Amino acid sequence: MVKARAVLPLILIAGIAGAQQQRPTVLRSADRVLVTLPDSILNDQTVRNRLESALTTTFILKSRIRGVPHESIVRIEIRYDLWDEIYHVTRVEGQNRTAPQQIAKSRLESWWRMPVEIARVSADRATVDVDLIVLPFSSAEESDAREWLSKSGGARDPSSDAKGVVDILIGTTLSARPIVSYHWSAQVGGR
Amino acid sequence: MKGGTFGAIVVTVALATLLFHAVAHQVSSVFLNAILRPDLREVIERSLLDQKTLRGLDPANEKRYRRRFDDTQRLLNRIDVVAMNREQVIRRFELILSGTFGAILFLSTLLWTIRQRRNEERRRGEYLARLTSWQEASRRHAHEIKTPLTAARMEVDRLVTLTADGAAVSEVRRAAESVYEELDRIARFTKEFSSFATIGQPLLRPEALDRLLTQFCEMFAGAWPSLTLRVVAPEGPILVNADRDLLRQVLVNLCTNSAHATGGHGSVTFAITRAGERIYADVIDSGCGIAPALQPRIFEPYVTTREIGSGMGLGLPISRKILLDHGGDLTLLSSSPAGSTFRLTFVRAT
Repeated sequence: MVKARAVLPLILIAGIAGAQQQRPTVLRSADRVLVTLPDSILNDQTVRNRLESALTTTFILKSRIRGVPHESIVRIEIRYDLWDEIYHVTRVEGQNRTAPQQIAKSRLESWWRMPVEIARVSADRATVDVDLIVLPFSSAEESDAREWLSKSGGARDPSSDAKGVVDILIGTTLSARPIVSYHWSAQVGGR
Repeated sequence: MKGGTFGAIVVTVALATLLFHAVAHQVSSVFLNAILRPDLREVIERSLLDQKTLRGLDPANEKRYRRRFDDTQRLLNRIDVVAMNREQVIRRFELILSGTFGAILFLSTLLWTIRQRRNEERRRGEYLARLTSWQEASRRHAHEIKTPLTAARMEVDRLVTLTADGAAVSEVRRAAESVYEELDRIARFTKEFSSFATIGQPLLRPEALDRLLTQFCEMFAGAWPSLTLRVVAPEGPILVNADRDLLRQVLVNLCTNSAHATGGHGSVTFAITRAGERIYADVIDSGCGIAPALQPRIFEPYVTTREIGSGMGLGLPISRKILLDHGGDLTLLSSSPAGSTFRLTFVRAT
């Protein structure tokens, strides 16, 4: 657990989805901005349904400090393994990818509450815009389904030109559209 | 193509595409519905649970059950991914099917249009060719009739003068004979047309083709002594159904052409071959050949290489008509500056 030097009250300006949702907690630790996502996101029925499927639910957390063109992206992947009845969870923060963890069903929420570093700020005060989108499956699962579908569609001969055309047409059809999205803005200040 | 026809085609194509789009929607939906049937999903889920149950009952084969579980799980995942994109996939399938149909329809229409235009061009070309033949025929007719008529008129004028001058009877008679000669030329000319108009139906009888050709060669050699004529035939009698007199007319036409083409000093060979129920007699000459442009039209009336006054170009059409009436045919097999080969096809006599 990250120890926060200072915790500032935050002004959460807006939440596009889920007005009833709890708000995330944004912390500042030295120049690092950390966010703890609320449990309500996990307990949202739409998200919960996805989490209980065997597909990889992917949470994309995009953050941008106002006045800074750079945008940081954190990806959280959660997949339920029905065989062992555990969750496989992974966090990718920038270039760092944490090793996949296996956690029991009952421990998912405590793991979820672990703060995530979303940005670094050098200024005393800054406003952070945070977007969270929840995708129902991963790109690997998308590719697998695309290949399966194009084969089911009749283009079985890998050498045929028709397969390429069908693959392109079908491939651009399957895409992970967000099932839920959120937007928050928060002010952080004082180290 | 006329604008109206093109418009009708465009409307037809558009309507057909719309109709097919509706069909494609149904086809696509059926295909996806088959994949995404809820009961199918239930069966797959039950299968997953069965594998887990089996693991408990038979721990020794856990790996096997796990593998099956993973495979089934992967299938279920794929179905879920597709299900989440159901509408998009249906629309894309529709697009693919409709696009394919539209492309096929467009290409078919294009090919049909091209074919129509080519047919129009061909018909136009054929009409112009026929017109050219008719013009040529008119020129020949005019020449064939005008020449003896002019000569006859001059002789009649001379006859009037001679009679008025009280010329000798012998001189008057000579002038009268000249008039008769010119009138005979016109009569011969019209006879050629009469023979074309009144080609009789053949009275077919079994004839030994090799013997008939040999006899013809002997006869024709008398008219063209410098022409070498020979018959090449397989062993044994070759019987064909033929009308001897009409067939001789065909042979005279062909060999006269050959004689003219060789300048009377070449060779004409009759090569007989058997091919099942057909008997072929190839007439091979060593003449100068027929111009390539003329070859496709050589059996049309009034098409000839000879100069005006030397023939009307009816010999080959008459000959072909006779052979067709025999149940056979007359064709030009080949022609080059080294010579021409015509093929006479007969029906074998039983």
